[in-house]
Amino acid sequence: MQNLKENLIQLNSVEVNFDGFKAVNEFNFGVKAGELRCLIGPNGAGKTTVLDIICGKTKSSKGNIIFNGEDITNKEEFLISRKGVGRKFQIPSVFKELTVKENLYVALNSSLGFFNNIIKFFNSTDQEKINNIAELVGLKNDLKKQAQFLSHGQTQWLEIALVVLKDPALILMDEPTAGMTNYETSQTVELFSKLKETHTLIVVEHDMGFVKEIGDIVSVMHEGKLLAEGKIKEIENDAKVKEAYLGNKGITNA
Amino acid sequence: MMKINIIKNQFFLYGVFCFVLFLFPLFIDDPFYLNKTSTYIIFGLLAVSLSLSWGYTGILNLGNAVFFGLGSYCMAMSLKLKTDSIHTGSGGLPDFMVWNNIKELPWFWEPFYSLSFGIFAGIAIPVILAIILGYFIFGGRAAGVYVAIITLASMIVVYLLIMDQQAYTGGFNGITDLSSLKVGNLEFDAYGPSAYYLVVSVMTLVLFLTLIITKSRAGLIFQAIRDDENRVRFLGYNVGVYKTASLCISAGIGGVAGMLYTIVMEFASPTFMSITLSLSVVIWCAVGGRQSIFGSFIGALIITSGQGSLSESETFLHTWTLIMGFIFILTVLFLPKGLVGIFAKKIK
Amino acid sequence: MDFFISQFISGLSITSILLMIALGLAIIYGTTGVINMAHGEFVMIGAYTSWFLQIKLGMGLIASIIPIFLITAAMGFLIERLIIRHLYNRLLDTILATWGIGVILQQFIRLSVGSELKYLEIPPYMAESMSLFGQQVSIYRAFIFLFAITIFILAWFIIFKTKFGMKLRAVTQNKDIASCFGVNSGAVYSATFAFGTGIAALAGAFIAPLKSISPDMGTNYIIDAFMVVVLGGVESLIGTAASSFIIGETSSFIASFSNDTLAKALVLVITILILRIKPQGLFTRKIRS
Repeated sequence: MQNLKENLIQLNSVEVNFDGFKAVNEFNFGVKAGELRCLIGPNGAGKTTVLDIICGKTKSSKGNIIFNGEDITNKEEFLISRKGVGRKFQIPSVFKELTVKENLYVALNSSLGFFNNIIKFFNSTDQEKINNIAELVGLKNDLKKQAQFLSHGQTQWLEIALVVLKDPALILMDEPTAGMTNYETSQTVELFSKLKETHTLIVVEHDMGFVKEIGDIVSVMHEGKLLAEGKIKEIENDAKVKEAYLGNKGITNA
Repeated sequence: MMKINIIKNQFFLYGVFCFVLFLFPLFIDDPFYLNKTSTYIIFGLLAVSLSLSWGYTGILNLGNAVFFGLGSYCMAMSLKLKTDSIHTGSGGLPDFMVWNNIKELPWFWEPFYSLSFGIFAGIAIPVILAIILGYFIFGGRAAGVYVAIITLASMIVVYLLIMDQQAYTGGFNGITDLSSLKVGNLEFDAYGPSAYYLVVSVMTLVLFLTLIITKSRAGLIFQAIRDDENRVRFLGYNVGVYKTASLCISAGIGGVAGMLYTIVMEFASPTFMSITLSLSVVIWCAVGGRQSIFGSFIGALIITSGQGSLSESETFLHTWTLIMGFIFILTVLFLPKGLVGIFAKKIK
Repeated sequence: MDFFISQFISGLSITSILLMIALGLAIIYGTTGVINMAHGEFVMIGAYTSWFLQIKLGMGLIASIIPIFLITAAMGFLIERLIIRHLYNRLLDTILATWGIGVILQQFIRLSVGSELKYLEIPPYMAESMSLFGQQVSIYRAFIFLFAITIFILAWFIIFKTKFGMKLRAVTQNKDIASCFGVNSGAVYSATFAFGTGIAALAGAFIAPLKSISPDMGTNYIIDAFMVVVLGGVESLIGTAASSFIIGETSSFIASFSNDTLAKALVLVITILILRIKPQGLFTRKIRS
C-alpha cells in the first residue's frame, strides 16, 4: 500500500449515486506524482465516473478528494482545472468551428480573466508556442484547418495538445486511443512517454496492448469499486481480475 | 501572412463601407429618406448586438430587444425633460404624468435632467440588466432552451412593468413629444443630415470596436464557448463570467442603438422591447449570417430597407412578414450560416 | 376564509387552462425534444376554428371538439413531416423554425380572416353560475376544469397504459435503439406532435369565449406554457400538472392584491428565481450524463 500522504492525488471513500445506482462505491484510490497509472475494467465499472469526480464534472456524495495536499472535493471544474488538473474526454471535445491554431491559442497557458483577454491579441510569441506544441502532436501542417475537418486521430491529438498546453500537474485521459489506427496508437505511446517525465497521468483504457507498453501500475475497477492494483504482471495473474474482466488468456486478450 | 491580409482586409472592408455611408447625404437630400436610412442603420447595430451574443457566444437571447428598449427610454426621458413648456404641462412635468395626477417628478426621473446622465444610463441600465440576467442564467448553468425562454421572459417582465406603471412611463403610448437632441451648439434634427451623420458616426465606432473585440483573445474564447463550453471550463476559464461579459457588451450596443432610435424617431414606446422586434432581430441575424458581425448588419439592412422601401400599406406589411417567416424557416433548414455562408468563407 | 376559497377556485380555473396548453407542449418537448414556439399559435388556430365552426357552420361547442382536434392535429402532422423532421439532429434550431411557423400561422390568419377581434359566446347552457363551497362559480369554467383533468388523465393513460404509449416512452429514452426494435420512431414523433398541437387547439377553443379572439392571442400563452414546462421538469407529466397548479394559484393570489399585469410579471420573476436554484425543474430525476 502506498503512503497516502505522498500521493499527488488521493480519493477517499468517494461515492457517486445515480438515482439509486452506485456508479462509484466506497472507492479509495491514490496516485503518486510522476506515475502513469492505467485505470482499467469492464464497461460500466465506473472508470469514467472516477475521472469525472476528480476534475469536478460529477459530484461525489461521500468522501473526499485531496490533490497536492488540498481538498478539491466537489469544487467547480474551472477552479480544479486551475489547480493543475487537465482532462481529456472519451468523445474528443475540441472547438469544431475554430482552426487548429485558434484552438491552441485558446488553450495557451496564459491569463484566464476576461478583462485581461479582451485586450490581448495574437502575437509572435504565441505563434512560436503554438508551433512547438503542434509539432509535438503532429499537427504542424494543419494549423489553418478547421478542427471539424481533422481525422479522428488528429482530433484526439488536438485535444491532448489543448490539455497539455495548460501544463497541468495531473492529466486525466479517457480512452485516448479509441478509434485510432495502429500507427496513431504508436505515436500516442511516444507522446505519453515524453509526457510521463514531467507530468502525472491517469489513463482509462481498454486497449491492453497500449496499457502494457506505457503503464507502470494498473488499477482495476469493477462495479464501482477497486478490484485490484499492482504491476501488470501481478494483475494479469490475479484470479479476481481474470474472473471479472480478462478471461483466462492473459492481458493481451482482454 | 495570409491571416494578416485577411484581418487587414476586414478593417479595410469596414472602412470602405462606413465611408460610403458617410457620403450618402451628398446624393440623397430627401429628409424623410435620410431619416428612414438612419433607422435601417440602427437596426443593423441591433443585429450586431445579437450577433455577438448569439453568433459568437452561442447565447440565444430571445429578449434582445429589451436592451434596445431600455436605451431608448433613457434617451427619451432626458429629451422629455428638455422639451419646452407647451408639451410638458404644469411645473415642467411630462404631460402623461400630469394626466395621471402625479404632483411631482419621481425620484428616478430626476437624474435624467442631465443629458450626460441620460446617455450614461442608456448604456449602464441595459448592462446592469445583463449582469443580473447573467448571474441568474449562467450562474445556474442553464442549457440552451432555458436561456432562450428566460431571456424572453425577462424582456416580457420589463415590458409588463412599463405598461403597468403608465403614470411614470407613459404606458402603452410611450414617451412622445420630445425635444431634439442638443449637444453644446449642435442640434440634431431628426429629419436632417445632422442626425444621420450622428448615426453613421456612432455606427462606425461600434462596428470597429466590435470587430476589435472579436479579434481579441476574449472574442476567440466566446466562440470556443459556443463550440464546446465544457471544454473551455476544463481549460480553467470561468465560463459564466465570459458569457455574462458577452451579454453585457451586447446590452451596451443594444442600448446605444436604442438611444439613437429615440433621437431619430422622436419618441420611445414599449413596442421597442416587444417580442415582434426581438424575433425580427433573430431573423436578420439568421438570414445575414449570425456568426458574422458584418453579415448580421447587412442582413438587417437589407431586410429593413426592403420592407421600408416597398410599401407602407398594412396588407403589404402582413404579406411581407409572412414571406419573411418562410425565408426564415428556409434559412434555418438549409442555410444555417445565412447569406454569409454562401458568399464568403472568411469575412467576419 | 371566503376570500381564500374564491382565490383558490379562481386559481384552479387558471390552472386548468395552463394545464391544457402546457400539456401538449410538455408531451412534444419531453418525447421529441422539439421546442414548439408555435404552440401559442396552435391555441389561436383552435380558437379561430371554433369560431368558424360555430359562427359560420352553426355547430355547437361540444360538437366541434372532435373536428377542431382532428383539423389541428392534421396541420401539426403535416408541419412535423415537412419541417420539424429535418431538425432532430439540431434541436435548438427547432426554436427558430417553429417560431417561423408561428409567424406564418399568425399572418395567414390576418390575411385571410382579418385582424379585428372576434367574439364567441359561452354556450347558453353553461353561461350561468352555480354555488360551490359558498362561492358563485361559473359553470363554464368548472366545465373547462373538468375537461382539462379528463384530457390529462387521457394523456396519462395513453402514455403509460397503452402499447402506443410504451413505444412513445421507448422512443423518448432512446430513439435509435427503439428503432432497432422495430418501433417506427418517425411515426411516433409525428403522432406525438399532432396530439400535442391538437390538445393546444382544444385549449384555444375553450378559452375563446372567455376573452376575445385575435391573431396574436397565442403569444400571451406561449411564455406561460413554457414556464410551466421548464418549472415542472421535462420528464414528468405530474410535474406539468403540479407546476400548472403552482403557477395558476400564485397568479391568482398575486392578482388579488394588485392587477393581472403585475401578477404576470411577478410570476415570471419567481419562476426565474426558482430555476436558478433548480435548473432542471422541480420534478426531475438525476440521470447519468
